[in-house]
Amino acid sequence: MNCETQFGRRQTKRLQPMPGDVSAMKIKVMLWVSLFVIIAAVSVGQAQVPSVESDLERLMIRYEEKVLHAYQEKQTLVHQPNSHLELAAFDSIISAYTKRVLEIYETLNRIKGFTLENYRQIASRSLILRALAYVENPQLDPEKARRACMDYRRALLLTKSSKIPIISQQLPYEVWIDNRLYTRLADLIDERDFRRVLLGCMRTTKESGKK
Amino acid sequence: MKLLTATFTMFFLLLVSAVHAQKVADLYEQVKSAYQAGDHQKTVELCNRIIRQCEQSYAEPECRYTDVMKNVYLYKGFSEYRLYTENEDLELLTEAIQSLQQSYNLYGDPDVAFNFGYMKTLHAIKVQQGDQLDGLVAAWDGILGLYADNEWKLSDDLIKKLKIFVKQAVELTITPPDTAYTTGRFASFMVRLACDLAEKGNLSREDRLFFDIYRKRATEDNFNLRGNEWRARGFAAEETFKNAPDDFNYRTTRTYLELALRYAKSVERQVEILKELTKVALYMEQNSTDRQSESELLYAREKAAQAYRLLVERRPNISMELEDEIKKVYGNAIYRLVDYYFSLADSTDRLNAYYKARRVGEELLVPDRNGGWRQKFKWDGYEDLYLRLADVGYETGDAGFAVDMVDKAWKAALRANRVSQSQICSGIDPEKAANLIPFVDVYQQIARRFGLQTVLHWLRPIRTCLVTQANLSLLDNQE
Repeated sequence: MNCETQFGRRQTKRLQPMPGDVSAMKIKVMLWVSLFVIIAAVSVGQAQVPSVESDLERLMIRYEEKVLHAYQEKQTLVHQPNSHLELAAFDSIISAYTKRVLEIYETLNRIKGFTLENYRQIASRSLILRALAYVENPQLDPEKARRACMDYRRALLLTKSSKIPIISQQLPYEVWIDNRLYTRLADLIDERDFRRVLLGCMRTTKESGKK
Repeated sequence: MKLLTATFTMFFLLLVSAVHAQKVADLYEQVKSAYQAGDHQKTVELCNRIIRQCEQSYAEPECRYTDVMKNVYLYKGFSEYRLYTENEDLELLTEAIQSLQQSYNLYGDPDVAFNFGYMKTLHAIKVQQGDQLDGLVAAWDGILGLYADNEWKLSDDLIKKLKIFVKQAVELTITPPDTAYTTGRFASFMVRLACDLAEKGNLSREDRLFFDIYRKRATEDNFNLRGNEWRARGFAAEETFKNAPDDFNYRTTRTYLELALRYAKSVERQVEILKELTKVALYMEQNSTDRQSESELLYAREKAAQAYRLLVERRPNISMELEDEIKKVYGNAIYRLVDYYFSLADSTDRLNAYYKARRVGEELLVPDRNGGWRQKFKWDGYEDLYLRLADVGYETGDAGFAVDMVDKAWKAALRANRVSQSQICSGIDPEKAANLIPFVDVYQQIARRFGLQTVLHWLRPIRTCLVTQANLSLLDNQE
């Protein structure tokens, strides 16, 4: 009994921690908790970054679709007389969406420090469609031709590293104009760039490069 | 002495100007208070003073603060717009647009882009320049910016802006009403874009209906927003006209529907609008107090004839119901005009009126195989036209025509009432019997006039049976 009491007392003694032990335990617990919080925050952060990227990528694809949609819609007016104001308005809308595609592209570039080929292709296709929209106008002013050249060059520059040039790649969507299906941008450029403006602007670049 | 005076004068002037010129910072505070108090005239004046002061060579530092100057232009623009809404002075609207554009150039707020886009389109509508589309472009740019600002989610405010945008796009397309400055394709595209965007949000039932309706208008009839809008306005005006059939409502309905017809792209749409125009004219003739019967009926006949011609020549892809309706309004228009000329025989040159009635009626007649005439098509009520033409034949003394017409009227009446001649004496529906009696009466009258004894012999028992059947029902009702 005594022994028990002794044991019990001893046990009680062991269970009563010293003031220094309490603070050490608290520190340990706090350390574990903070470690857990840090790990959780990092993992959540890591989970959020791809979510922002995928959101932006989705938006980029959606806006590229809008560029294409506006471009195709514009084709119904190209051969109509007295539609130059509407054509100009379509150009502005195509430009507004292309601007947003490029903005998203730049943001993705800032997030990662580099861009995936897919992003570059989307930006590049949007730029080429905008360039085509400029050069197709029945009344082509030099300013629009200049802008078209800038877009075209930038598009080619963006996808310089691709194995197949962007204009020769199979498009991820169908482009229907005047009941004709286009599956590559090269075909579209051959058919729709009546004045060979885009071809001309590449020639100028080469010549100026030689000089 | 002179030098001293000049120096003193300059010093005095500088002192006076220093006393009068307030600091831009103070003026800016006053602008804010005036704008919040709703004193728009004062806001504009103060903003102008700030702008003038900032244009001086030694401008104050506030003039270089983007946040100050963009707000100065913003307050000025909004106040000028408010003043415009009070005075309807278009110069104020132009000023407001310029001010907001200045503000946007300083600080690319998408809300400001939307607002000056809205004002530009409003200006285009007011000056009837339907081809000024840059307002729509700017407003759409603003909407896209606001959408991005809101993390690509649709707020209630953005939905409201989308609705404003759609309404303006539609209004601009039908400006001016009588001359299309654009093809309307761009506005249709913008409305579809707005509807696409709106569908991404949680729309209320009313909003969903709004966007559904406008999507339909922007898509139907080969993306014919202009034509579809006039059609919708025409139908709405028609409803009003039916409730209050006066001259104003009639003219409005006709104008809108005629514009819908002018801008209709497909034959289907054309025949539909022509039919509607016929209906409106016939309704006017029948129900209005300020009608001009002959002109309304002639108009109705013309439109119905056009619709029928399109139906026959172009074979539009329309429903059977619409085809039947077109035939019905055409037949009705002819019948009513025949009836009108027939009724004129009492007051004007008798024979001329009958011949006029016959000429109109003949528009629907083609030769049949038995040397007589038949109507080009069967329509709901075609027996009445035969009967009226039989009357004309009776009055003009044309036995062949009268008998041919009344015989066809009788057969058409039997057909319309779904009664076989052999059934009549073995009991038919009393209502049908009552319907058939006038036809037998006219038939007998014509047979008597032209001495057709055998016909009379044939009709006599038929009439007796019909009268008995009709009277039976009358007796039943009395009991």
